[in-house]
Parts: sequence; structure tokens; C-alpha cells
Amino acid sequence: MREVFVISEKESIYRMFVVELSGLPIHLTWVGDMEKAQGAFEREKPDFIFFAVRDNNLLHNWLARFKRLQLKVPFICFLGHSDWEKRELLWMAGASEVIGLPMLRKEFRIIIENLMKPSGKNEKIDKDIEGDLSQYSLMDLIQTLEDSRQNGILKLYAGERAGEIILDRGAIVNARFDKQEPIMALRMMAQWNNGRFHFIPDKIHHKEEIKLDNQQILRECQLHHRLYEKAIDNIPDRDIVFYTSPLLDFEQIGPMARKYLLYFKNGLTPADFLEQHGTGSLKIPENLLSWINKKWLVKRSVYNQQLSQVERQQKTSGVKRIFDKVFARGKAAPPIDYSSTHASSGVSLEEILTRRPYLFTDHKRLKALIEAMDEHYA
Amino acid sequence: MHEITEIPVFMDSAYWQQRFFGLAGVNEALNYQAFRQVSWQVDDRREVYFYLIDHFNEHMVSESLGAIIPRAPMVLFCSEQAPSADSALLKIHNFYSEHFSTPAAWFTRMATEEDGEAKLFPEDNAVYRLEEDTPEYLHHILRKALKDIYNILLKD
Repeated sequence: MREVFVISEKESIYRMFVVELSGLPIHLTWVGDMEKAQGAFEREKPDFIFFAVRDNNLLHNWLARFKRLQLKVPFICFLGHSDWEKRELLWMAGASEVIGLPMLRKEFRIIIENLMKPSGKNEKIDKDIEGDLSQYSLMDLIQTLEDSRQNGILKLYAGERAGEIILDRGAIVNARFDKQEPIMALRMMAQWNNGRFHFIPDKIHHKEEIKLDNQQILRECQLHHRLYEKAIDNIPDRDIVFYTSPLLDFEQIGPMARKYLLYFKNGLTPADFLEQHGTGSLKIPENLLSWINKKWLVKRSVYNQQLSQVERQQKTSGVKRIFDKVFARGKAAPPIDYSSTHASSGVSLEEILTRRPYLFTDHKRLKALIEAMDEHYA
Repeated sequence: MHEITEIPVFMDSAYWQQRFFGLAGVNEALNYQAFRQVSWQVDDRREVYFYLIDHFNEHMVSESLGAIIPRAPMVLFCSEQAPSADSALLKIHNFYSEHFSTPAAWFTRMATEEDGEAKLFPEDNAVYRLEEDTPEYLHHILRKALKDIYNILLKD
């Protein structure tokens, strides 16, 4: 059943439609003139709109107001006898069809029936949709589901990760991934470039947990994408295999870092790591960069050197080994500048290690900016 | 080549938002979930993006600004006066110092000596006072703050 709003000043026209179109799978509602229709649109979005008005100027006025609402609902214009030019203007305004009344009853039914036939994008799907995330970006997928006002759950799978996005009549109302907040879950899932998606349509009314509309959500995702790309771009030698440094003392690092660093034990490139284990969170590429900077992750040549160093150490006596380890710990630990943190007193070692570094080093650019500022008010 | 400098700005009042609008010569900002963006065209090659943050959600700060802050030359905390110990701005500052290492500077409207509680500004942050409500003056202290950062960078 498709919902149709009849926008007309006269109820008699609506009655005529009800009689003439009885039996078609449509439900007609008379919403009055454009003034009242605007109120009705706030409550409900129909599948189709019939504009029925005799005065040509008034019709164009209503159409302009309708377009300003940006509802993207197809519409048909019904009017009295009109010449080709007038019809052409309405077609150009986006009308699906322009129908002059009165006309033969049978012809009228056939035209409406054909026009209202669900087609292409507006079709409600009953079957599940499945596909590959490498072929469709999540953004496009959401756009398509929004356009056809789908209701249901979009499930995403990438490696070990699984998340879902819940749509209520085309609007994103909730998202779940890990224990993230809905928006953050969406921002992270939008970064998954490979994996599978599976849309399961349903007829349940889903509760709204996200207050942003789809456009705002897409904007958030785009912003996140830019930041994510930037964070990845900062990682040097993404396609070279890195190893966990044999000198690294695993007791000294946090549990999350330990989990991720173990993946590099037998060698892995940052690019592959991000593909397999990147959740879409910005912290992962950033931590990766800091591990490379801290030499927790090293390239093959350094790895070999360090390995032979460790082997040499192991040959020496047990007491020396303990000494070496104690002194190496003092040297290897990053210098922690307690003076620079006001709130450092209660900060645990782990927090200091995961504190994001100060990466701005471009003093030339800063100098140029200061000079430009001097000119600005000169 | 176009050079963009990003500066996150934490603020406790609409007063400061108006000051940054004035400096950039705009009257509205681009809205994101965790912040608003104002871009200031310094000259035809250089732009400064100010990210104005006035609702202090720790999760959003660390996620939405987490990649921006490390690459910014500095971060600004703007308050009408020296922040009281339980103010939201000081709390977000403490959260900030636990999670980020980018140097922070305070801009304030009240003279530090006038309110008598200058000690409440976090010790390690430079404090700059906006003595006049003009874009020129904000420009002046912003330049000063950047210059100080520049000198520190040179020293390192």
C-alpha cells in the first residue's frame, strides 16, 4: 500500500480520486492546501503527492514551496485544460506527470496505475541484500537505503569485527560496534574498506538513539575519514615489514599495546596490520606511529642486529643479564617530563605512555605564519 | 602551496567565540559534533583553522580532536577570568594534560593581578590577557603566543 497525499483546496477532488482509483494499492489522504500540507509533512512523509489545483499561478507557488521543503517525494500535477507550454513548465519543475481533467475514466486509471507502480529506487525490498564492502562504500550504501526509505538492520563484518547500523524508514537511528557510542561506532565503521555487509529489512519501529540526521552523520564520517587518512599518511614505510623489537620489555607496556605488538612478532607491514586489525579508531594508526618512533617496532636489519645482541647477552652470566636488564630499562624508557604536566601527579605510567605526542615541528611554517600575521594588520 | 595551521580553542563563554568570529571576519562557524570551525584567511597562502570547543565531553575531545591536537602548534584555553578549581574549563584542561602533550596557552579577559587568584591558572601554561575587545588585540596576543611557541621550538 502506498501513501498518497492529495494537496488541493477542494475536498470534492479528493472524493473523485477515491472513487475513480478505488481498488488500486494506494491510500489517499486529503491534506488541504499547501499551508496545511506543510504541517502534514512534518508528521509523515508520503510516497507520492497529487497536486490538484485549477489556478496555474497558485500551482507554481505551491510547487516552489514544496521544493523548498526538499522532501524528494515524486508528485503528479492535476489541472484543468492546459496547453503544451504550461505542461512543459510543470514537467521541467519535476512533475512525474501532468494530467488535464476531465479525462476518460479508464485511461485515467491506467495512467495512475502505471505511474504508481513501484519502480527502481522506490521499491521496498523484501529480500536481504548482501555484498562486499570493497565494492560499495558504506556512505553510498546508506545513501541508497535512505533514498528508498528502508527499515531494518545493516550488519557489517570485517575480519573479526562486526557491527550494525539500524535504520528506521531510511533514517539512521542507532549504530553498534564494540562498546562505542553510536556516532563513534558509525565513524569507525565508515573506515572499513573490506568485509561484507548484509541488510535485513524488517517492519519494526526502531527507537531513535542518534539525534543527527543522515547528512550530519555523513559529514561526521567524512571528517573522521580525513583525520584517519591523515593519521595513516603519517606512518612511514607502510609497506615494509616491521618486527617487534627483541629488546622490548613486554612487562613495561600496557595490555592493549601488548596485544597489538604481538601481531608484529613474526613480521607484518603497517598496511596489512591496519587492514586486519584497524577498527577505524584514530588511536590505532597514531599508536603505530609512536611505536615505530619509539623503536618498539623495527625493520628487518635492525631486528637482526638486536636479535644477535640479545643472543650475546643470553650467553653471558645470569647476574650480568639481570644488571643489563635493569640498566637497559632505565635507558630505554622514554624520558618523562613530569614538570610539563600540571595534572601529572595522579597519572599512571600507562597513561603517560599512551598520551598523544606533540608532533608539530615545522618551525619554518610557524615563522611564515607569524610574518603573514604581521603583514595582515600592517 | 596552501598552508593551513590548526589551533583547537577551548572556551568557557560566548564572549570568546565572538572574539574569534571578529578576528576571522565571519559571523558563523561550520558545525561539527564536538566543535565548530572558523577559518581565518591570514593572506592568500595561509589560513588558520580555529576549532572552537565549548561543550567539554572528554570522549569527544579525545576522539574528534585526537588527531588534530598532536599536529597543532599549540592549544588555547580561553576564560573570562582565572578559572576556579571546580570550573568545567579547568577540568577539561586537566583531562587534556593527561592525554596530550601539545603546549597550551591561556587567554583571559581579566588581569591576572586584578583577580588576585592568578595561581589558579595551570602553572605550566603561558597566560595572555586580552586588554581590549578588538580583533587587533586578539591578533596581538595570538601572535605573541605563537611567537613564544616558535622560540621554544627553535630552542629544542
